[in-house]
Amino acid sequence: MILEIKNLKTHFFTRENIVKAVDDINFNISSGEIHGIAGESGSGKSVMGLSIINLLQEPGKIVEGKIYFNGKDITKLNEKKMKSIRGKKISMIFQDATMSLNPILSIETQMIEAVLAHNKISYKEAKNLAVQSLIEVGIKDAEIKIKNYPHEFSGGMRQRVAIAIALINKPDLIIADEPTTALDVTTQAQILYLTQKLCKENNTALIWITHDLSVLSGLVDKISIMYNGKIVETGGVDNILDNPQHSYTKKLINSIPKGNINEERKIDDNVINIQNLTKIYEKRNTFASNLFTFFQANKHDLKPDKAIKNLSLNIKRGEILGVVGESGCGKSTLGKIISGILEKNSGNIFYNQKEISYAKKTSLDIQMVFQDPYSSLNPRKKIIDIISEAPIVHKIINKQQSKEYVSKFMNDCGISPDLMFRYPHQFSGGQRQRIAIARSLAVNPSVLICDEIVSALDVSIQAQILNLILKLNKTKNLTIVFISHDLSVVNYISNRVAVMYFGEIVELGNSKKVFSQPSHSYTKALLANLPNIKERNINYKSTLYTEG
Amino acid sequence: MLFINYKNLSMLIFLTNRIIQSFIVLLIMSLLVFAAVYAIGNPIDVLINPEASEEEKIKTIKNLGLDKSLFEQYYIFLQNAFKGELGYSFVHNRPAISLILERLPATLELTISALLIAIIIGIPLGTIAGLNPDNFISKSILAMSIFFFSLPTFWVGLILIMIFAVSYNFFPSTGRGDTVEIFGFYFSFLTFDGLKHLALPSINLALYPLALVIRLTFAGIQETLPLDFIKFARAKGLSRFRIIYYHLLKYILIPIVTVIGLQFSVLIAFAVITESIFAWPGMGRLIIESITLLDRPVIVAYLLVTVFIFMLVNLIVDILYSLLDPRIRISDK
Repeated sequence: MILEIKNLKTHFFTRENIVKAVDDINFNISSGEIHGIAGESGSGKSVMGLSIINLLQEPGKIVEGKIYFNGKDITKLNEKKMKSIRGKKISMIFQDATMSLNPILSIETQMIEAVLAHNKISYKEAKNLAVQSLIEVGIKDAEIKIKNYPHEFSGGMRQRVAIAIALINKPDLIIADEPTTALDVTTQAQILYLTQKLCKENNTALIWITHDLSVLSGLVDKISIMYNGKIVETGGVDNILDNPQHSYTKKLINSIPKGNINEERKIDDNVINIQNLTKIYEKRNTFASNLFTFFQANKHDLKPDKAIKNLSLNIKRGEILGVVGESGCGKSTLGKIISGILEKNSGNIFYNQKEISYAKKTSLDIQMVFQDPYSSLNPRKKIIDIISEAPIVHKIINKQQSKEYVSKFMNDCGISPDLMFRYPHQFSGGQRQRIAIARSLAVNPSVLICDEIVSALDVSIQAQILNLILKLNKTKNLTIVFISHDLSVVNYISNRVAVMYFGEIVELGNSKKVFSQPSHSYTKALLANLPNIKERNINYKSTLYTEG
Repeated sequence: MLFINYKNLSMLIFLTNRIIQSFIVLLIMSLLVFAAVYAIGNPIDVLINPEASEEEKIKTIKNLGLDKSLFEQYYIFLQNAFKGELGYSFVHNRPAISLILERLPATLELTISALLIAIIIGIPLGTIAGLNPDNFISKSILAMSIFFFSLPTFWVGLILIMIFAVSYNFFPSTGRGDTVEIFGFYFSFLTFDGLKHLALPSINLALYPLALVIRLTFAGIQETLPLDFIKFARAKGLSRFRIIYYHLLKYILIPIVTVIGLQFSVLIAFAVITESIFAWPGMGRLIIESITLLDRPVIVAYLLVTVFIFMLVNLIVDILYSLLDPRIRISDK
């Protein structure tokens, strides 16, 4: 056993009460083992990881229990001794590599300081080691790239750098806290494959903390399920996924969207018609920049980025159209243009055969719901004011009618109208997203554009919101454009699906057909890299489409 | 064809844009100032002895060019300005620009030493307070900063003189003391006597920016500490020293540099009060005198010089900003 946790209790002492984030946990991992910990937000899985290397922040404290690392209890070590273990014996990788690398220091500085903190070697030797380590995680031209700053790397590359830093001192144990959650499927598959390979090669033990069970299926040897600060079930991958014992594990597995429940509708009534749409994010031109561009040999540096290239699409009345693609493919831009938030550069958009444009927004019929329910609701307004604001401004109702009006939409979205005088912070993430949907519905739209509305939510909450969307689609005959990077969610909910890649729709068709028999090679690559709880090896199959 | 790489090109575009912009701003500013000064009163009433004969009056008006219309006067001013002359002082009968440049080193000396005090003392104090916000020393630092914010400059100046000059006689209370000439300008920070003269006025001027730097550093550290990259740096097993100096301070320096840059310009304006209290022979006193005497050319020249300093400082801040933060490409502004 490289790590043995015995009766660990980590509590947070707040002014109101004591939060038992980790409550009496026993956990073992042997050297070279890859162990997954799954649970929803608030289950204490991250706190457990931070407890191991004692990086807890106030007011968190280990109150009881022992953590034996190589047979020695490390909960009793002082800060100085702990420092010599961190990064040397136990490394950590965090969720968002955008945040875990210091944005103003070069990759070189950040890698070399990790080496020099634990080894008495020269700067040059340390640099060689760093370059070597970057090559190991698959970064090309490592010797040149090491001089770059984090923002010059894509999300996947940054996470590779974080992994390289974690591995650089050949630790015995790596704790990875949701390291692929912020990444696209193809990138995620590469990172999973890479981490597994490197850990097996170096005989490094790995604790992989995630909310996504399907990621674990191909990666780990054992899975522990956490719920409310306790480990409710531990076992081999096959045991847990195929034969779950605990009721919570069963619920978690059942919440994963599977298959497709919606058939393509046999209707040919187009509610929205998009013809040859193009959107360019232009760089700002000034007199001086024009002057110098004129003289410049290397003109492509200043060329604008095309977010959407000559895109045509029909959206049928009453359907759920899924739009999938990886970050940067232009799917959110498309949604924003249809709803009139962004201006298009060329092309036409027709709503009910009438042309709509950004300049003169004529109708409230197309509404949008955004990804993050924490920032899309004004924290200083009551729910009733949030939902009734637009209807009052557009004279659908007057102020006296708002209470009755708002309760109708809150009921529709599954929130008790008794709560309408509360503020957004008093609600959970899932409830907030329901409020955001209610707000969009309050002006009686016929098209609802949902931009990644379940990405920030836990699986069980996600399932509830998806069911709400399905219900609204059925009962109100609402046309829904469902934009998401998550293929299984789109497959589950949509009638038709459009696959976007670099500003173009590369495949469009009946969801069932696209997901079972994809015809375009990009769709195939996306599906091949999708983690699946049925398969027990990592689906890293394609090198055709890489990060760029 | 010019073959320059993208980074240098961006810088070049940025600087060219800035120079064009600055020129336009100066032009608009000169027009505004000129018109405003024209509107506030007739310098003849102040300048000419009331007992002077009518003939003498007309002669003086003609000599000063005040018989021409506003537009003519402005046109003549512009013509001279392009030659680098900003008019002759009515009172001193010398070029206004040389009057100002004579006093500029004294003001700059005062403002820069005040800012240095603010930075050298403020950042460490703010850091101490930010790292352990709950202990007694940190709370005292923060409480002190509130006093520095709210005490009026002239009152603190008088108290400083009372304690350090009158009661204990540590520091002299007025003047610049011995100066050293460099390139035709006189500086007092190079002599011991000069430094003693500089001490009280610069401390007085430093209190407000000091409080600001303490508060900013404190807030920056409080905001940055919980971020993931600090956690990641700790997970790498780095020493506390390295985390604070490399990861934390360098990161929070970005907003501090911006504010210090703005503060520099504000201090030049605020220096008026301190200069008056400590009889510091800087630009501030010159402008007060010129306003009371309606010495138009000096007022115009002073305002243009200040605007120029403002723009120069802002340009330096923007360049520093892009050096500190690699995410900022300077041409995107």
